[in-house]
Amino acid sequence: MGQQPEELLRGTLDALILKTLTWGPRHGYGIAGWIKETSHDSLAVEDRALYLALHRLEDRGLVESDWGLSDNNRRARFYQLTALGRAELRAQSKRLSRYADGLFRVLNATAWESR
Amino acid sequence: MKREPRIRGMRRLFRLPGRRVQDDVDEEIAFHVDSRARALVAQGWSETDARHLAEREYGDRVESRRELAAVDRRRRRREWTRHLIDTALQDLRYAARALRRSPSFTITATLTLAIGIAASVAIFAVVNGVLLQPLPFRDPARVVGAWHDFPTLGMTHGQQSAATFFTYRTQARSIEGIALYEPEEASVDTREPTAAPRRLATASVSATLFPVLGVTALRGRVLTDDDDHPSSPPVVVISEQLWRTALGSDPHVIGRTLDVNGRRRQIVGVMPAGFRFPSSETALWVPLGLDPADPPGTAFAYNGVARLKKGVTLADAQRDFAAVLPRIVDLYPLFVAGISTSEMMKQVKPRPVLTPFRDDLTGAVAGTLWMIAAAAGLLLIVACVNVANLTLVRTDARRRENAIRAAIGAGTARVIRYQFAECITVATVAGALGLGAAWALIGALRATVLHGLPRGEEIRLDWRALLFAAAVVAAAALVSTAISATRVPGSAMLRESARGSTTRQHRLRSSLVAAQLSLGLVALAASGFAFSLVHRAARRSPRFRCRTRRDPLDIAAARAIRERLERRAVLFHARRSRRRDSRRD
Repeated sequence: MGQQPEELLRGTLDALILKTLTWGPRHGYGIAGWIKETSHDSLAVEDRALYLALHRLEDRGLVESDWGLSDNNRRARFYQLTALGRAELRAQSKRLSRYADGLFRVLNATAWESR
Repeated sequence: MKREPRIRGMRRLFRLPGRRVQDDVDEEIAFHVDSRARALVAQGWSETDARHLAEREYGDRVESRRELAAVDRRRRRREWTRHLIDTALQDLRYAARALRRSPSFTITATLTLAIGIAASVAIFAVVNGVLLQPLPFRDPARVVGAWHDFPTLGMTHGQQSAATFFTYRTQARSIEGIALYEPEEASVDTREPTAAPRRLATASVSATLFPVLGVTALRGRVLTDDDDHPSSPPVVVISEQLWRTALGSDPHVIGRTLDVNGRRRQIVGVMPAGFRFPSSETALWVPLGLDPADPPGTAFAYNGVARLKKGVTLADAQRDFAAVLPRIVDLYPLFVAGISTSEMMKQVKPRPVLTPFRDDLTGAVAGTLWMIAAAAGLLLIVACVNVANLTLVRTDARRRENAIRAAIGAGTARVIRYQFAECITVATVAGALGLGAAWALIGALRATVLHGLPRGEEIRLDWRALLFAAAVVAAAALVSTAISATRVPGSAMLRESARGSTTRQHRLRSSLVAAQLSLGLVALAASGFAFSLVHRAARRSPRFRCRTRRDPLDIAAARAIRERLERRAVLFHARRSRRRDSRRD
């Protein structure tokens, strides 16, 4: 570690959240923790931005929320993927991989190939 | 993960959006910050430091709780609207299916309501055009009718004479102007080679009429004071309709001549189409040409209209008129040919009265129109009862089901919702039919009974009438629902087995409705007939107003003669009885 976590690119947070929810309903704190853990703290997600993204996803019908009880028996708001959200995640993953792919290919190019 | 049981139904639907949303957001943020702080404490942070760090990590919480609540509120509103629309559509589909299953009832109810709506929309258009719309004059609230009461003779709404007109015109400070008008009929010859002379509605007016009403000419000019003397060259102002129909919209019409009652008059102006005064058929206006020094033979023979100065009330102006009237004795000593003004003042004691001008124009028909409106309203209510009856048939048929629903405490609102769906379906269809019928009805009425009605040309099916129709449809649906809702069975109904009696009740109710409906139709037809009688009578009388047209001076004279005769009779009787007495002696 020791390095500053990277700012997220626009539009990737939604995909991260949707991905997190493929393992079942989670509350906001759970989602934040999972992203931090899985990315080994290399992605900086401000909590406020995460919640705003969550609520907007719900507004678009990609996730739905309901109140449930957390592990230590507190009322917490749980989010769950909808069918629409699953489809969106597939589309976003494809888009982001293609993007990352292109990015890597350019950055890792070894020789000038003119066509 | 454990879930709280969802609260479905009413409580979820009627959850107040504003407060609850903010509470949810606050709780969510608090949960996050608390959880994070607890995790940090577990890593060995002190309680306060953990809390601070967790809060800093979260970011601007004030801003956050605001933006999250905004998103959620928007979503809630949208979901609520969608739910409402879905439910409404579902109810309507259900209602339409149910209505199709009992076609005879549905058709009866729809047609009844369509008749009710047609009648009320048509009468609304008439009342609106004739009685409610502002008069087509400039600043119409300041235009007032000028009359005289004769309290000692028991007469009201006497008219103006040349002398009273000139007195008010020169003396009254409360008015901008005063004018005389007198509807007449005249033989009019356009002197076109093909046209024969025609009898047309005309008006003799003082030249002040045009500024008093605040109207200007479409072509040429209106009458001016120079046209309005006994010796002025004979001129005439014609209506747009006459110009269009009899003179072929001749662009060089100004300066042409017309023969009015055999007198050749030069056309100086054409009035705009909207100026139809005093009746909708008035074809031309000629100057009265009154001479105060040489008054005509009849007293109180002209209708008066005045324009109040800005800010002057009717009562103020009336006081002003009363104050200046006595000056008439010195200003115009000769009242009519043969009677001096002072004699007149002594005999008939006129008292000036000003009235809102609308009353002068439409006062004669207003009462009848409102009566017809009431009859149409009655018909509409009967129709609503009929529609309510229609929905009750099904409510009764579902009686047991509804009673069970009611017993478990869920059904009443739902039952009423279905009733409303049926009512609004019937009402909407009836509204569409009724509008079409009203349109046809107005067309027919305009050509017949309404022909020549004061302001009759202003009757049409405009957006106001459409709005009114929509309101009537909504009201009819609500009233029908309200009527049938009173009959929604409660849980008590479960106990009684009401099956046997329902059919009989239906028959009883439908015959009642039939009777009410025919009564309503009769009332409407009767008032319509009464209206056409009154209106026709008013039209046949050569005068514009069908109020008293007797000359107060004649009445005063007749009264004087009667009093003299009565005195003679008393004397005669006294003498005779004295004679009888003396004979007996």
